[in-house]
Amino acid sequence: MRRLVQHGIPCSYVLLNALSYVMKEVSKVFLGAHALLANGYVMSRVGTSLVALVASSYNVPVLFCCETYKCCDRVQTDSFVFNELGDPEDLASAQSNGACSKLEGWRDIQQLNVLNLVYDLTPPDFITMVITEVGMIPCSSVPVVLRVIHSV
Amino acid sequence: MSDARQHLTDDLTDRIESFISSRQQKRLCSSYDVAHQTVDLARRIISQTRWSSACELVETLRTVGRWMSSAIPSETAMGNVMRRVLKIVRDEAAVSSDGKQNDPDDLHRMLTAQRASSDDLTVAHPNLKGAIIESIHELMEEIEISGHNISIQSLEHIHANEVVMTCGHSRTVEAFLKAAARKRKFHVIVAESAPSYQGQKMGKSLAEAGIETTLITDSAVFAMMSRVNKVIIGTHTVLADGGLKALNGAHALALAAHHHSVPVVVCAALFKLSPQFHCAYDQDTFNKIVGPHDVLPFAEGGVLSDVQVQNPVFDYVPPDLVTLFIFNTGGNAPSYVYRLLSEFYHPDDHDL
Repeated sequence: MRRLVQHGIPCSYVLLNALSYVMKEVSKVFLGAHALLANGYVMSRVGTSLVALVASSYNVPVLFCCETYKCCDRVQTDSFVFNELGDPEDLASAQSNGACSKLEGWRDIQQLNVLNLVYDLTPPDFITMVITEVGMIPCSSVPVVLRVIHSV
Repeated sequence: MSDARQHLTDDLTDRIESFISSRQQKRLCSSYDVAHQTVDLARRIISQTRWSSACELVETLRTVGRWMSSAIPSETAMGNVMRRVLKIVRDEAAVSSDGKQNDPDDLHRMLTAQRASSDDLTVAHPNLKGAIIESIHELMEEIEISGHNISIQSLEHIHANEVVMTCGHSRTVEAFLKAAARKRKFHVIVAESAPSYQGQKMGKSLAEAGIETTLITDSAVFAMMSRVNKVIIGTHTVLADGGLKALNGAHALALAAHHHSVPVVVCAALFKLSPQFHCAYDQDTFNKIVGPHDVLPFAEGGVLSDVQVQNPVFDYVPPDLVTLFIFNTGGNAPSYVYRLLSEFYHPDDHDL
């Protein structure tokens, strides 16, 4: 956001909870990706799938910007089989207004687990188009890109 | 309207004003407390003001209801309870003038469209006050045990080894899950609901009650949804079309559940049922925006002057995303909500 503001683009900042509230004023959604999987799914930062889901329910086009070196031949259908766990303290220390955390002493409670996922998977039905340096492709064309790159 | 207010004693006017200001100053207050206090207020109005016919009483109650709702438009429980009280008053007046039970479901009555008895509110009856006060007491009791009545239904909906997802902190859902946990073992995933982080409080409370709980960030809701068997949420208001005015983030949660074909169950007490409709995508009209410092703290500095920050409180969830409502009177589909409306509120009171 800071970089966009520095370039003179007017910005609004909201948390993911306010997605449904702002989505009606949105005409396009641009997202980044960590990897493009061979079955058309996009692996990206956690929360991306939620943005794509709400955007597609409001019929807003979702565009991913991604270089071709991020295309990989792995296939995956859900976000569990392969993911990274972040630091659970990020949830425990997150608190607005500097108030003391509601999760103080969470480690002492046996039944409480704090999960901080890093990546999630966006299904191809929410994705309109992927923008790469070789052009604009639908997300199902990733195996074609891979074949072209490997054959060169 | 002003002469209806003159019927109110000074003590009552003071009570109403202090009730309104206490709601306006506190940002978070439970609908249960609001509903309870509103019934109490209505009972005092009925017993302490002088009225000779049901018509005058209805006018006074409507005035007070309008006054309170216009002071705090986002708090619908006040208006809902006032409408319940008005229905009770109208029904009792109809019973007294009729002499026999005025059953609105009576097929013969519906077919012949006999509405003469319910229109005649201007006749004075001696026992009307006592009958109304008794019904108000029953309403008060119903509100007090509404949480309990919802939680005793929990065993029918949660089976062993299930994974349940919820978001935010709803006292109704907390009691619901804790009641089920006494007999069944299941797993709960709670979304933390930034920026209020009420979900963290809920997660901690459930874990302390012995339920296996996992706390996740809001962003991970779609990622975790493929593992979830049921979504159980609470709501602020149930709208007349069966939709919800729930805390922000509920719409995204319901959409993710719909995508994975996971049923969405909503636990709400009847005083949250409102006869108002809200336009689905125009969320500006019913939403409440609170201070942006929870989203982007003031410590961020100079960039704040160039950026617009929004922090809405509510979310509209359309009725096709909700699978089941669990009210204190039992479970219902969203398509049945219109029938509950006609049972508990009189059509003349929909607009106070």
